[in-house]
Amino acid sequence: MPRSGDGDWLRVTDVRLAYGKVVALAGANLEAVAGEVHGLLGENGAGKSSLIKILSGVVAPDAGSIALGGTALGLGQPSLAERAGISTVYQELSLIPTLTGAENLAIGRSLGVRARLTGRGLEAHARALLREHGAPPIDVGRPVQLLSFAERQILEIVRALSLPHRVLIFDEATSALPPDESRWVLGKARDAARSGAVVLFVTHRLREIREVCDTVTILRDGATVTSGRTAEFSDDQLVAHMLGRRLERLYPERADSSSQEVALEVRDWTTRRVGPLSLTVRKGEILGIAGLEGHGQRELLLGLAGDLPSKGSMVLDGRVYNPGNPGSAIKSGIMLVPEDRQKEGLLLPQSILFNVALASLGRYGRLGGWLDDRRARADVSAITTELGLPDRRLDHAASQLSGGMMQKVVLGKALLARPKVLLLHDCTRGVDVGTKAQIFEMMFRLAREGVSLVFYSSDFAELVNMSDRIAVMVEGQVGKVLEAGSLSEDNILKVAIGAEIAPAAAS
Amino acid sequence: MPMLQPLRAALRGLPASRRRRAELLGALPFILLVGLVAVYGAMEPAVLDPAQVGYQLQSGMPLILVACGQTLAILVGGIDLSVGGIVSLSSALLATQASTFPGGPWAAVVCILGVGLIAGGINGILVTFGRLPPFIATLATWSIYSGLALVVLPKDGGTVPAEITDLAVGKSAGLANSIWLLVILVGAWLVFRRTPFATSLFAVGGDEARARLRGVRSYPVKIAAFSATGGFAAAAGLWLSATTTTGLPLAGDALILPSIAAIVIGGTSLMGGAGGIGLTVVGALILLVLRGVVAVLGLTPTFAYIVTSCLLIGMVALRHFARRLEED
Repeated sequence: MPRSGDGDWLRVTDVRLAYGKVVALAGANLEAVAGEVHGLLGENGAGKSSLIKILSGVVAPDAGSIALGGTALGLGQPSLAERAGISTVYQELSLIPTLTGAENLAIGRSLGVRARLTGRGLEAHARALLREHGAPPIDVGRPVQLLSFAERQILEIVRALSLPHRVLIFDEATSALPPDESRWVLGKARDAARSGAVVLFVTHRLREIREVCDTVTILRDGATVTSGRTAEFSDDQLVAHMLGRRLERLYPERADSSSQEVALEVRDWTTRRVGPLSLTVRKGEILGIAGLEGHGQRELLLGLAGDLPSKGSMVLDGRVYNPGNPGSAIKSGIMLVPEDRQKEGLLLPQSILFNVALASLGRYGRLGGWLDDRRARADVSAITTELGLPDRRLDHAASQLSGGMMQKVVLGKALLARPKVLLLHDCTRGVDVGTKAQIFEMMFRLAREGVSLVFYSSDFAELVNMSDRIAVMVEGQVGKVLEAGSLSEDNILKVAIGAEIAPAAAS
Repeated sequence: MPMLQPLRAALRGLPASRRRRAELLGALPFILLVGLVAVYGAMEPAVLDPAQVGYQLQSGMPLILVACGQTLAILVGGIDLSVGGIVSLSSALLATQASTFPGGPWAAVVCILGVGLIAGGINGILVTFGRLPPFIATLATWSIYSGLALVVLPKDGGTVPAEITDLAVGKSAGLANSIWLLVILVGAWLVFRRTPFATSLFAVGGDEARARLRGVRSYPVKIAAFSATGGFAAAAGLWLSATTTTGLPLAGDALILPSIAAIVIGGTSLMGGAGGIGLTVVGALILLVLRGVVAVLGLTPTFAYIVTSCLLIGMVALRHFARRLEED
């Protein structure tokens, strides 16, 4: 029971929610008290997002109750939740893309007539908020859609912090942030707890759970499996509770499968905001791409995948490679798993079958251009089964999938296209540990089979554990390529921020 | 916070020149308008005389009003084709009812504006609670309102009370009332757009789902916007009848597409969430001056359509191009 008289508390009792036949929550319970940061953990699809949507009033539960400091919470209306003092950092962000940062921070707020009547007043208010919360400066006069994802995430966090709150919810607020900003977020969560708020913190990073969460609640298959003080659980136990089985290890055994043979050779190459640079990708190698947000990683991958015009020489498998568009890149054997799985990776209203087959439709043509549906279905099913997606779901719309499953479908599409070089853009962002392990396993298998992987991740630990070599991007250039032996998070960060790598670390 | 130093460097944003480019683009319609007016004035100095300006605004006012109303529907991510029907209906009502209206002609004017607000509100309800796409909903109500106009007044005719005409074509403090109306319109918009309600209007148009997350109740906002669109259309019909002193139950349709052209040329996004009535007034004035220039050149008015359309394509293409530059 929450300790009464000891400040605020939040209690979720037996909350249930189903979307049609899909059960999202089957008895979620949670108790959190003010002054502590409470971690909400679980695989993707475990029901964390659903629970947060209920707490913030986006959806109403089918059953169950939520009490805040002894009074029942009005449900199903974001405005009710806001009035009750629940402030949420949404995973998908709640900023309006066409409005400026300043306008976004002013929505639904009375700023006084003077500040309203002059744009300057709005911007000054926004800048003051950023300063007050120790956030890095952001051009608040620009429409949000022109800001980087990290900048948007920071604005979203500042927005949530600046509302009067009794409960503060961080839903994967660090997913796109480089280390320094992530640390800033953790600090803000701590501060909020210290000043008497109930803080719920959702993250997939074990290190962050250790660092910031005093207590945790673990969800699996829509129900609470356990909760307690974080210190009482070992990492293995946390993961075991999330998965319901013991996860052997997150990163599979490394076996260097890279050969000296070159798969892709890029020379004096430039694309939008990137280059001129030279880069070699060997056959069967995993080449990590690292860097702080916005240093050209996205453009590098898009350029290689033919989605941005580029200049310079590219040689793929001994042949000149000059893709005019992603379609011809795929034909040549280069395939991208893009950054935004919902917008760039999938056609949400279409079926999973269609999405997986999309990049390989040419192979399933029959005379006259009809599609050989049976053959496509068989091939798609072989791949999705391996990825842990049951056959009966092949005809469901991609929009019905959870985040982790969506990523699997995008990967499935890439696999079916049988690329020589697979470009991965942060494909593990916001993906649960179980799916991550599967993705890593698959990456190693591909490398063993001779596919070259160019793997960009915003998580430095992943890069270090997965890559044979790591190219660190700095302002559109390859700052340095770290070779085996010098792969470490420290070294990545040092190159990224322009510090010297100590000789000892590079040995 | 010293640990955030490298980050600050990384996030310092775009060079100023790129921002300046974006600002220049936003100012393009203004520059174009000033340029056109200069050309117009050079060819025919008389048109810059205040009385002439007032007269031209007077005849262009229905387009300006419809376009301003349409802007609100478009800002919330919709579109309103039924404005044509509402203009016709309002014109027909004024010409048939105002002279004999129980409370006098001014009460009739108020009631007709109310009819416009209700007609627009119905569009809003169809679009929100009815979940109809705005294009379809207002395509249907366009026919309904146009039909009602013809029921009220089967063909051009009727009479408009003199006091109403006098107000529309009159002068105050030495300037034509049409000029004053335009000034009031733009001034009211500049104040309105800084109100919290306007922010939620932009928010709903920019991204309805996210606006809801922020506690904005999107349905009332959208219904209010569509209702205001109808109110503006009714005002346009009143103005039209007042200045022509007759009822025109078919006149509204010719305003629908030009109103959208004025909005696009002004710079309001058809996707919603960005733009405003100030821009639309500039866009509408560009169209009106273009018509004047074509007339001065002695060309048939048909040429105005061709020039307008080329301008429309040019503006959209240019914006698209500049947007890509900005994203680079």
